[in-house]
Amino acid sequence: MDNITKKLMQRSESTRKDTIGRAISMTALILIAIVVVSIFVFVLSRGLSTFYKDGVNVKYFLFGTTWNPSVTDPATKKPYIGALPMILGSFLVTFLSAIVATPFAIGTALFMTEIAQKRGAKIMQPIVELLVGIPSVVYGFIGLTVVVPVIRTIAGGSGFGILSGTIVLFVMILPTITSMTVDTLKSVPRHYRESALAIGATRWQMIYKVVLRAATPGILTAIVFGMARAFGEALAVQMVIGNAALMPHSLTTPASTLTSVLTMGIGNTVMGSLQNDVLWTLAMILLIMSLVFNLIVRAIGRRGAMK
Amino acid sequence: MTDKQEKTILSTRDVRLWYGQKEALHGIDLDFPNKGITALIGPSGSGKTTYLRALNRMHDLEDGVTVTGSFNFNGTDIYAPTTDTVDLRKQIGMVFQQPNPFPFSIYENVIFGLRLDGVKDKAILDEAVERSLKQASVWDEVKDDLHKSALGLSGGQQQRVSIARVLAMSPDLLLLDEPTSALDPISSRNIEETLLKLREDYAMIIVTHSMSQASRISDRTAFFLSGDLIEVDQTKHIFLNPQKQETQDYVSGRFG
Repeated sequence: MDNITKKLMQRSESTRKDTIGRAISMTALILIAIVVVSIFVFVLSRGLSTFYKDGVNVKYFLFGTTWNPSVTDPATKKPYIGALPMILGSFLVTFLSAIVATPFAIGTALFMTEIAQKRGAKIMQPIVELLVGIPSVVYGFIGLTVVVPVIRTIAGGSGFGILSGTIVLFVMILPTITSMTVDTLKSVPRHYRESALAIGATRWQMIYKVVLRAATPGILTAIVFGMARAFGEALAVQMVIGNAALMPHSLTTPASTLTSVLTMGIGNTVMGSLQNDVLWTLAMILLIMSLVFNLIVRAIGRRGAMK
Repeated sequence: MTDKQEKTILSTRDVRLWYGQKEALHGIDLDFPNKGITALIGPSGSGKTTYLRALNRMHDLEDGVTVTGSFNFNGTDIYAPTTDTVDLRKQIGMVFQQPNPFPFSIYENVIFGLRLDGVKDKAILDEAVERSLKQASVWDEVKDDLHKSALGLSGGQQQRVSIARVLAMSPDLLLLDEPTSALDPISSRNIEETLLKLREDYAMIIVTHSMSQASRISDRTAFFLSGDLIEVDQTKHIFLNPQKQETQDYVSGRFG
């Protein structure tokens, strides 16, 4: 009896292993949390210093239409740092590419899951996965050598601009949206399909009225993920958009995005100067936007789960 | 056909079905009257569900399934190349093992089939919802919540809404694939009572694992074993006085 009590009071070997395992995974978690938090703190402190250290008006920054940090505005004695052209540019390429990509992505996903499952799995799946894996510089290079000249021929001008950026981003986010939509469609229970057909739905009615409806939250999530990718993409966009920080008046004139201005400028400014700080502010906007995209995805997921 | 059963709604002869190279049904001859419940019983893998799904061509959805034999449904050949499966499935409704309402409101669930047919008249739809839900004996429980999601209902209510959804199409024949096996005993009893009421107006074929359920609700019982139809007769004869040794063994619980 005493022996058993003694044994029970001691920590067993398995409990000890359990504790070690938990400690390891907790450490990993804490490490990642620290990294994320420090990124936020760093970007925020840098980005906000534009406003409190350099005394720039937030409204002026967000809605000003002239971007030229190295030149001082004689009227306000401040550099031209209106970020609206880039903010608009970023949102335009993001939304346009998502609008163009979504129908193609849903069509492809429906083909892969509902119409030709075997061919879908054999041919389309690897193609989509391959598209995800292509480095963005390759997309950008193809955009530069193929898309831009085509636009130049058709629309005139230089060929650089929002339209070229949209086309390149469309190809880049297509696989993201497609593969996530495929996963969503696959997770629609088989019995929805069977019972729709058993009531006398045609295959199209089944897809349109039941499968797509049941999959709507997932598809929206896929689109938002695609948009997040488009919003954050720097290199490929930078190669085709023209990088002129001007208000976008046309889809085929050079424009710029937050990311393209960031990558172009960050190496050419001195740390701590206003010219450098405003770039951090752009990075802060990017970070906040990706947070917003994340929250949207979560909100959609929660609303979808409630149904 | 010993009874006063007037008309045959469905007559199948020499039904054979292959999954790839493997023959799963070895020539089934069965007739179904246009009223009342026929139960298909038998151990797992006996082919009763496979046979049931062949009756409204659900096997079309799977690859590598071959069906042969004659299926005469009200004078039309179910497997004729010209038969429209969409129309066919409107006439032969099916209720599945898992309660499976769509993630819409109860109302939208019930009128789903009518909407597919393009019915837009609110009065007709309202009438169909009330009639079908009443027939499925779930009206009183859900009449105040018609526009709430059907997924918020209990399993038994969901299954009765699924039945109402099929009834809204006014089918001639109702196929039920183990409709109570995923439900608790009380919900099962509700479903059984619903089916007993529907027996007056509909022809129904029910696959069930529960012999007591077959004996409670069915007029006729067919016993399947390993892809063969062993015996079919009035339910009381099958349970009290079966002609075949295998049937005797099964219904007395000696195997299965």
